[in-house]
Amino acid sequence: MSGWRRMDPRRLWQVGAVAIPVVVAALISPAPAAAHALVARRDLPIPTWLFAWAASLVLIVSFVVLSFAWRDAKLEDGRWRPVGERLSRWIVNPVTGWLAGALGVFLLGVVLWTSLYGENAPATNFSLTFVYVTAWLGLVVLSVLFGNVFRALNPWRALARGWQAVIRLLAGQTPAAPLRYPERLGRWPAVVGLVAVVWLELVWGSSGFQAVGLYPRTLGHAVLFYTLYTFAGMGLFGIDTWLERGEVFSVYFGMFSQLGPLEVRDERLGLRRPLSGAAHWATLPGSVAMVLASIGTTTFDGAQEGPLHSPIFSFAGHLTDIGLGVTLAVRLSESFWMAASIAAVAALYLFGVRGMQTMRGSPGFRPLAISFGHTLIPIALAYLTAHYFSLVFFQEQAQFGYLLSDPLGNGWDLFGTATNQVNYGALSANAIWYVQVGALIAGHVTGLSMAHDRAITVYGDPKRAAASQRWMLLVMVGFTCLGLFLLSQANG
Amino acid sequence: MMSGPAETLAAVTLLPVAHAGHWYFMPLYAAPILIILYSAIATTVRERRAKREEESRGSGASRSR
Repeated sequence: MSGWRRMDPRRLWQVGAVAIPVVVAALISPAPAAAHALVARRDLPIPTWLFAWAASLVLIVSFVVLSFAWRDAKLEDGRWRPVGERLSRWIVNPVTGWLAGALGVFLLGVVLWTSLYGENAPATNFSLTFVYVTAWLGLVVLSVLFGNVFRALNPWRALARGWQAVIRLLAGQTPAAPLRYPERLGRWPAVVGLVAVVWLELVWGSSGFQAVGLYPRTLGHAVLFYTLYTFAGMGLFGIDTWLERGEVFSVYFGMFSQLGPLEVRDERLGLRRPLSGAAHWATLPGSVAMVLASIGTTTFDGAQEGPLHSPIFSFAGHLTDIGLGVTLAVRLSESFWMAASIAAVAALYLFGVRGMQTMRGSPGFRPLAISFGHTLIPIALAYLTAHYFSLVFFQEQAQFGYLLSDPLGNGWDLFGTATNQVNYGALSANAIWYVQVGALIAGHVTGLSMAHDRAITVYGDPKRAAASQRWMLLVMVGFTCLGLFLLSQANG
Repeated sequence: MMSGPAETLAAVTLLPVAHAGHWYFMPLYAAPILIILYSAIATTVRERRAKREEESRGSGASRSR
């Protein structure tokens, strides 16, 4: 803050003379897109950009407080203490393990059955909402709260372990993996898989007009393909190796579980300091790319309804001009902009790292980028919460209402809820907006705290750590303002 | 009421104003980022200056030896 303290009072007046009229003019001018009266669904007391300023102020204050109050690294020691043995044995035991695995296999079967044999309509088929809302988003929340629950529920792991048990019974030994996993590959297969999973929903399925526009048959074929691919990976490199590095869902939910306080070690449930699990998560190659891809794909999803809407269709127009079909042109254009969104998010982070590297005693660029990669996990969580909170809230009413009673969409009423409707009035647009702002602020303050903690270890002194973290503050404020801008555009 | 060329001119001048609602607030989202960028760059400049001073002190000390 010393740069601001040293500012000449006359210069401050000059800055104020320009800034104050701009702010006042912006405050009294009409709301964004006032020319389109139908778009204004919210009635907020202040303009949305002022929320970005308020959120930035919260981050700056947090940064100052961290500089003074957080003097030692608290998240690095990996301390873990087991809970009572009886409680642990009650929750983590072979029976619950097999039951959870069986539940996962059952749900995988339901997804395949409904997607391949139900009505091929996104809004009335159980499978799409279940995969892309209930599982993809719901398991993120469960992972943060209760630890790596997907490991127990993972249907592919359960099937592979069952198969392994049969082999052991017949042959008397567990066969070794035929190939050694290339260390340099790290988590990169999972990164590619994450982008593919989101691409399937946002790009391939973008021709539909539903919450999830993908067709159930396409999803069913994708799930079948992914099942074979995962079995191949586990068969070639070993079950645990592939799950930890190559299997998208295990790596993705495992990443978010690092934030929570619960962890199972050697079949024993224990507690650790919240956020401390993430401290050494990003050391495997591709881990930082995993977080960046998560933020980047969410950014693209928000931007395609707002600022990227016009560029996507403009680029697609150029592609149709050179003779491509409309659907292919839109998909190519969206693929391009999705890649550009991930690249832009990565560029913002790496710009911050490059800035940090200018500090005396800094490690090299690459180690520094890896070292701070885990601090982006809360931001990925904040982006997911902010962008999909309302989708989850409304779609889960459908999931546990008519989709559960009529999973194939052909007129069944298994639980008497087939005629239930989604109550879109249950949550106001303002309430959604405040949850979004709250999630973004909380996520970025958490990320900033984790970065400060890591900086103390890297730079060895709280003062130098704080100085280096101005660049991470820039990254965090950048992501906060970007997130709020995209949300204001998408909801506006 | 305007008519003829005046009406056309008014439409031409008013359109961008009506659509200003789409873009005027965009730089406002960037303002906090620019303020912190200024602070971060100032830190880096000070760091580089301190590094140069350290280096010159170091080379001066080695020359005097």
